[in-house]
Amino acid sequence: MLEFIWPSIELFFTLQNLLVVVIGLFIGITIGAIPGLNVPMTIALLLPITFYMQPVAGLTLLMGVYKGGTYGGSISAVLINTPGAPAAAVTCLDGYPLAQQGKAGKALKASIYGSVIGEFISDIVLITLAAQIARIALKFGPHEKFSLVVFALTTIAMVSSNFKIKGLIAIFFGIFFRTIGSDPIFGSARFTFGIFKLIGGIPFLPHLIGLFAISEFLIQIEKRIRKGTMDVVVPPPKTPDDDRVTWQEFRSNIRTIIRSTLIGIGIGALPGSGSSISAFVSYGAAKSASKNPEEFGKGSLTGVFAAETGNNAVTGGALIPLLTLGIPGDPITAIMLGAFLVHGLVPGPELFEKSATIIYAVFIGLIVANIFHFFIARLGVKLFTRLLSMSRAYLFPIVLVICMAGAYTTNSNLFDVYIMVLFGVLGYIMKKLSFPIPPLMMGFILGPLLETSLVQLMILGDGSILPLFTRPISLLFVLLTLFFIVWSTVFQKRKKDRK
Amino acid sequence: MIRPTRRSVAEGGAVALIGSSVLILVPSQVKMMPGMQTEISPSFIPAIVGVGLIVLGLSLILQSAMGGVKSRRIDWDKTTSIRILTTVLLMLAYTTLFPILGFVVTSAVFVGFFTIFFGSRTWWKIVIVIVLIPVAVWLFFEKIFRIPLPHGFLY
Repeated sequence: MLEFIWPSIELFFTLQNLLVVVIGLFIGITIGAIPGLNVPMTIALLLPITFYMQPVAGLTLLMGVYKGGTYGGSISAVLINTPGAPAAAVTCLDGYPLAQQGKAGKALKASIYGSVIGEFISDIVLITLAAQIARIALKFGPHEKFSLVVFALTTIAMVSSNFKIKGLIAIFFGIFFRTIGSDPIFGSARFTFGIFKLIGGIPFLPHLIGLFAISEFLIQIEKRIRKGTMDVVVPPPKTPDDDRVTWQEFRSNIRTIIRSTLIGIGIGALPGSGSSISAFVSYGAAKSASKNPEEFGKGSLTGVFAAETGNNAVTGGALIPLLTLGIPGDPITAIMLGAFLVHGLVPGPELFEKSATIIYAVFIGLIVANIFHFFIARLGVKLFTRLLSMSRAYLFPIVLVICMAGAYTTNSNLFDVYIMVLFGVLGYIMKKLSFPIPPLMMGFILGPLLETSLVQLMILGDGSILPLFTRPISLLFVLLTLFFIVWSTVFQKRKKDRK
Repeated sequence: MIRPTRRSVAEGGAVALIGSSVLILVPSQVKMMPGMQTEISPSFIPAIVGVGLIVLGLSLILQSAMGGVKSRRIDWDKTTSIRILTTVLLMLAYTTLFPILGFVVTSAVFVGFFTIFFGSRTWWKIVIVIVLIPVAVWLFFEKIFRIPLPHGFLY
């Protein structure tokens, strides 16, 4: 590996590559922060441009967008309670309450520190331990995936709110909504009620925008307005400490950051999982380990650190199966696979032998991107806070127009906009009745993985689910699920009673 | 045992009812492909969801009867319901007018209405927002991302 370092440094450190990293991060952060635009779409749109670039420049541009976009989702999550990306739904839980207390700057900075550290460590792990981790990830069959999904969903239901049964109900609703359309195994139509457009299922982006952004718009509409007065969306900080993360706060969250990073790398390395699971599992783990779990959901800084570190640490992890085995784990890495192939780089075990200099130059690009990410995001905090600190008289109608355009452009279809409005009303009703929304979203995202892995494991076991309890990794997740249920119901109740 | 609250009975009952509806709809709404023979049919997951919702709906009522977690009070009055209903109808109207009047014109009307509704009375700021935002969003999608938005009959 060491013999490739110097030529790779020479290959990467050109003005064009450095500029490309900055542009990629800037585009990614901006796209991530705007509800209705997403990273896979942006990477797909930029892909043709990279054909005309040198391989290192093209790939680092896409990596920059990936990193920036994963972080950018947290900006709108913290400031307007609308995640720019699915994984940032977890950040809403504590980021938004913090912003409403005048601590938007603190939450956004915690999000930067968590994201950058998570990314940095996961990149180092990618560079040094990719092959070993990929070997473990290959052991994940349908049994392990099924038990991991069940564990993730249980965690989400238990940590999203105090109303655990309501969290579970939301998950079931999410899974149900995902069953609408063709089933993922045989393509049989389900719950389409003769509506042709439903055969493709409920589109994800309009569903996400509706649940979070439109429901928040309706909540804002409720508030009484006195003529001539306009409330600001993000209250200003009361003290200088409200605008920054103090050293003491950072130090007390180091364990959370490290734990969430490891979770992010592990989950990122598993094909088909993704940053949403990682963010929720990290958040759940942080809540379990916390001395003050009752603060979660009300503006806990640890909650923001956990969610953001967990979701950004996935970026390095997700590249492990892509680069070492040629298996893309999610839509983003699938598009990146295309970029690698276009430049004549075939991901797989031979990639590190045949194109080592280019790959290590890309790795250097990842590390450099982390450094730039820190500074660009820091500058962005001021800009976005100022932009979103305008009166809600202007902000919410603007956000709504962007959402309308975002929902429409998903498939250039009006049906999707109606779906968005419908889910907006559903999200509003859920908020009013104290049903948490993130579990519904996660049920929707993980539904197909849950179903396909269940069908596969049943076929493999001739209708038996016993191997779930005999295969070690699967058993570990089953036990973790049981532990988490017992912990969050019995132990937490006892702790509360004692207080 | 304490009596369950009326709200929990209503919420739990509604969830159980939705679960039952899912179970009732499964035979007619899950179309099997001809000759399909598998360990699990495409109706398996919907059926689990249906049963799950019934069990969880009843658990919600049971939890309330055992004095479990109390839900937050819902602030709701006539003005709120009128506001929400009007907004939802306006959003549906916006969506319907989208292809007829085009994105820019429909958005300008919509933004203008809500800016005033939220309390803005500075006319020049309203005009700037009405003109600038729909055009900026349109340019962003159409010119930068090359994703077309409806133009309508006006241009």
